[in-house]
Amino acid sequence: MLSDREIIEGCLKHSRKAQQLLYDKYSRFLLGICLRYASDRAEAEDILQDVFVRVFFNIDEYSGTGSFAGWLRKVAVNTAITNYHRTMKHRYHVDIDEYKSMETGSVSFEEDLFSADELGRVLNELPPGYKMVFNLYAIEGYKHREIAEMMKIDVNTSKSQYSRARAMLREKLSHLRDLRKSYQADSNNEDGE
Amino acid sequence: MERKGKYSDVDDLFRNRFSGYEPVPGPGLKARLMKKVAVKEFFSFYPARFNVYYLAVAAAVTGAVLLVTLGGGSGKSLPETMKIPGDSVAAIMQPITDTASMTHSPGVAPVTGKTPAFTTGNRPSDSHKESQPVIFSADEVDRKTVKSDAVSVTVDPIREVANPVRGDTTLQKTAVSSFKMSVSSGCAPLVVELTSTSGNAHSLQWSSGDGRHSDGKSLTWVFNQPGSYTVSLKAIGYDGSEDNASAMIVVHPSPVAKFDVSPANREVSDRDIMLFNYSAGFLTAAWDFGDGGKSHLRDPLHSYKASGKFRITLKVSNEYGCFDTLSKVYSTAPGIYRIDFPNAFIPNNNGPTGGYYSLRSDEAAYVFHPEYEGVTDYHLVVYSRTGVMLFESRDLNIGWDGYYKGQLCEPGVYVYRARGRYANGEQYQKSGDVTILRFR
Repeated sequence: MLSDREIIEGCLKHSRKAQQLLYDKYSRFLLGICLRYASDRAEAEDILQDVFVRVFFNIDEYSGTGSFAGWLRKVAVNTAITNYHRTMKHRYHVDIDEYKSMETGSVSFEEDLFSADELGRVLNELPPGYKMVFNLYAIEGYKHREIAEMMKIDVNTSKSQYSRARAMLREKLSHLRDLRKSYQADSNNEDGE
Repeated sequence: MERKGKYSDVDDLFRNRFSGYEPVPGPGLKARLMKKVAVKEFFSFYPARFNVYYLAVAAAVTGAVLLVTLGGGSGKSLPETMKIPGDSVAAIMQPITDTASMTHSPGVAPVTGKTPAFTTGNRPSDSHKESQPVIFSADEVDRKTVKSDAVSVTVDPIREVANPVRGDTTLQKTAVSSFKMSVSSGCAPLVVELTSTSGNAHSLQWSSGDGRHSDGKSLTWVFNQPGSYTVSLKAIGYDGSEDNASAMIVVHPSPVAKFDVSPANREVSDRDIMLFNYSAGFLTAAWDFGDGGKSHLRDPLHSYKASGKFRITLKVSNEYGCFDTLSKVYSTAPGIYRIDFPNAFIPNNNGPTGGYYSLRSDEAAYVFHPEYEGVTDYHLVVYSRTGVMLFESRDLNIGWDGYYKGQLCEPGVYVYRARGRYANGEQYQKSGDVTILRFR
């Protein structure tokens, strides 16, 4: 396996082999990011393709100082945002503004209760804008100010959408957990008898 | 067996769960990507990747240029270009000859006029006039109209005499099938009355084209689903001969009118009511608001100047002229004037919002603002319990976001006073206390 440096040098020369190695090494990592932003797998793979095209053609923009994975992640997030802006035009978009629930108390979740796939699905149930903001803030760790710039929204919108998204996720997850618990209780009862 | 990482924060839960999340991309993706990259690289011409393809394309382009310069002089390409208009003319001619042959096709009797007519078939195999089956068709036709309403058509385009060898039998004994329909096309549900005009038939067999059968002389069928149906009638003669006639019935889809009014029953007549059109399968909408107002918008706004009961009617129609109407009675009462304030609210703890709110957005929940009707003049002041003026607004659209000089106010009791004037000129003054609650 070649090192990142060798792969990058190969890609700079547009070597097909280096590009394939780059794909083999990072496609799964990047798909994991794309999936969180896309509404389904097909869209995620489309974004992933765009990400790699961008990476291959703009690899000279990578300064070489920071971590390469971090740079790839940034490209992926930017591509996902571009894609979001593009698809928003085509989607019939309803924001759940009537949603009036507040966070009630603190609820804790065991990590093992939910798989990444399930969390992804719950995330996908959020309105598209909420999902973007939550992804960027909570998982990618951007500041609200940066998100506002990237998404071309107001800082306060970013803040309120984030808190809203969090409340909704919390509610959805606890609902899911309760469902699962009752299911487990049922199956336990059956086992006992 | 299991890791018991407990997360009280959803952020951490998601971040940790997704940190090692590396799903495998679909198998074809890599190939597609590489293809895309190859194409893109090709067109952006990287000298680093200069290869034989560029040479091939260059050769092809040169070849093409040479061909054009040589071929242009000799006029070789001329017939090729001439061919295209010829083809298109033929293509245009095609449908015309088709329709022409249809109207003159053997067996079809396009008789316009009220009198029943006897026509003779033109089958090449039937050389004797006596042997030809006589076709009786009673047409009351206006073939030009394809519109839905009240056209009576008799069509019998497909006609088969079961046994043409029986040419020498007398004309009375051969069964001849034909029938009349009240309509041939229309909007769903389409009611079609069918009457047999067959001759020499001792039994009839109808088939509707959607699985129904009958044997009566005249019958009524209802076609609920849009589509085209071939109705056929088989007549069986006394001598056992059979004859078929069939006709096409086209049922157009009908729109379904449905709408909602918001607010459901307005008590004040000074604001617009919103009408939401939920109709299905329509092209145009026509609204009648019952007070003389009309609109052709999809989702119009309307304001009633007077109070009373009005009948709102929506008529939707589609491209086939099919329509559906729906009426709802809507009542308005004389205007009332009020302004009311809540006694508690929860400010947004993410920072000051400026207090602008819209009742349709969720910002309204975080802002201290009145519920009002018929207010023209407005002045709201909020004080702390120590008497400091925290907020002042003369704009009904701007409420208090719970911040004072950028700082979120402590949960507790605050005092407000509102003064102003209603639309009818009457003055109002309201004061009271409002409690700030903590966000969570």
